[in-house]
Amino acid sequence: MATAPPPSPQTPVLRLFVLGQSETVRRAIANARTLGPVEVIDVRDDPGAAEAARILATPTLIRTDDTPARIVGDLRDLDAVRAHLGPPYDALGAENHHHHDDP
Amino acid sequence: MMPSAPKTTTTTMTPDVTLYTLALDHLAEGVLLLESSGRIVYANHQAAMLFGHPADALAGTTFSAPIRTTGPVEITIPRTDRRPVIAEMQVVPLQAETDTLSLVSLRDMTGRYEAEAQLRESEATYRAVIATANDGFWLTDATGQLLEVNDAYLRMTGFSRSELLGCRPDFVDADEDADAVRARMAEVLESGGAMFETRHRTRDGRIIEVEVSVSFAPSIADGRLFVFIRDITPRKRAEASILAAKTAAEQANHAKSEFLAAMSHDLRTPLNAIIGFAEMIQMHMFGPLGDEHYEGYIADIHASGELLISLVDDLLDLSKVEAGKFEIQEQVVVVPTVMALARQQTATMAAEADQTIVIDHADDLPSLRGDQRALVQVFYNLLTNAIKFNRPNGPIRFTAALADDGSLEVRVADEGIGMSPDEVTKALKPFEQIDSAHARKHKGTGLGLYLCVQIMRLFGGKLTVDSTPNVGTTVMLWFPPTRVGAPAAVEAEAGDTA
Repeated sequence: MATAPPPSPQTPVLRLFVLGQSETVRRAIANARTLGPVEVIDVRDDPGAAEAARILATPTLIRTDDTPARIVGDLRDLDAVRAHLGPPYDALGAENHHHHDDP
Repeated sequence: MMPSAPKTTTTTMTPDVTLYTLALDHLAEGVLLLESSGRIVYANHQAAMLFGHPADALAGTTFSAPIRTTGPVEITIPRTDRRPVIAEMQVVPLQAETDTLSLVSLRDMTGRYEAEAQLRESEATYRAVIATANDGFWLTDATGQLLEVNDAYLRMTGFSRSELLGCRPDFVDADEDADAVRARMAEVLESGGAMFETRHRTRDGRIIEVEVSVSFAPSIADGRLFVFIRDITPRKRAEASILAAKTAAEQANHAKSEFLAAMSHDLRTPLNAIIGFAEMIQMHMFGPLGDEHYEGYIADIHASGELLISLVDDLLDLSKVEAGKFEIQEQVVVVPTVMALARQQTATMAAEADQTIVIDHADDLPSLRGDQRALVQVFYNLLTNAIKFNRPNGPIRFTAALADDGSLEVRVADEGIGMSPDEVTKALKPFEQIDSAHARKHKGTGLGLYLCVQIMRLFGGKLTVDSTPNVGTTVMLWFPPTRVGAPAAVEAEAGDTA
């Protein structure tokens, strides 16, 4: 299966839209970072980007390459998140199980 | 079965489905139906409200991959028209005919989250108030056992937190033992609070003075006491030193007055002998003096003795005034009579200085309630001053008149050297004399005017000085309406003329 490295750090394929700082946001960021490089965008800092990405709720993780995906929530079910994101993220699931759940 | 088509196609639905969607629109929770791609196929009314978009507009847009949740997930919905909405999201899969649909339910938690945030903030605020306070703070249970103590109290006493927690106030209180503390606690629980001063022991055995403010909150847990402790040691020390200084000053002043009174009395005795024998010599009681010069000397001895007596009398009166022992008699005083008496007493002095005292008053001047002897003393003092300082041959006008408000004004006006405002201020103080060549010719204690002021104060009146250098001085004595007129008529007259 695809074992391509995560996309280059300069332009992460994964973007996480958040709003402010809360326990949920902190958890979502931590979970998202286990998937690879993530660009975290606070919708208050960049409302234009949020509108362009048609963000309805936060946290929303989106995949910006040609296999788009979007997931709302704190990403606590990392296996399901990976499965939904598809290759290459779905292959990493087995070896990485420290997901960030409720405190 | 739940509908699988977007809401926009409800017209093609069966009546049952319409009923379901109607029911969903009345649900308090937001509901989204998602395809496996994450696309919204249905949004109920409450979901539209939460997102701030019409349900029709939501349908067809992609919300999220339908990942089944095991518990509520907190999400935030950014809004351009209001503060963000905080919602708890749950996602469960539904089996539909053509696709696996997921049901997303959204419960609006904004109010609760905001309330919790406010509660957290106010808790943090109160905690900071106590933690950063300059005063010491204890939280105790209803028996006085310490549950919390702030850093300020630890700094104040040098104890560590662990040494104090679990203790009761008698552990640190230097004045109250366990029984006294128990009694105090019972009183506080009864009354709801107390403020008192006591002393606390520090860890190294020092004693500090503290002001304690306790309030009882019966509704918190099984009853809690809030205790604020302020270190008032510096204030107590200052108070003690002020008190000591005041006591010392009062003692010194008292000793001075006693000394003056005793000395005045002792000085009079030899002076009486000096004056008495001088008078006998002046009268040539046992034969002539011989040389002419002795006549002059004996006259000087007599005059000096008289002056000394009057100084001593002033000192005696001053010591009485300062000791609060100068007693004012309450008599009916006929003012013109007292004026005439004062003029008579100064007649020799006036004649020697070529001065004329002109008395002027209305015939129907009301009587005054006061002390005749003291009044004569005041008038005498003012007249002798006027005689001393008036210009040669100038008139001294000694007048009394009733003012419109029922008060009585007595004036002594000269046309003498006068005084500047600074000199007036000085003249009204004890032991001060105006330093001028003219004044130095007239020896005195400088007590005269000050005594007059004090006596007028005892009358409830005032003495004011109006003076212009080289024009003259007018001293005005003001007697309040309550002292004017026969005692029975005072009120009526004051009322009529007001």
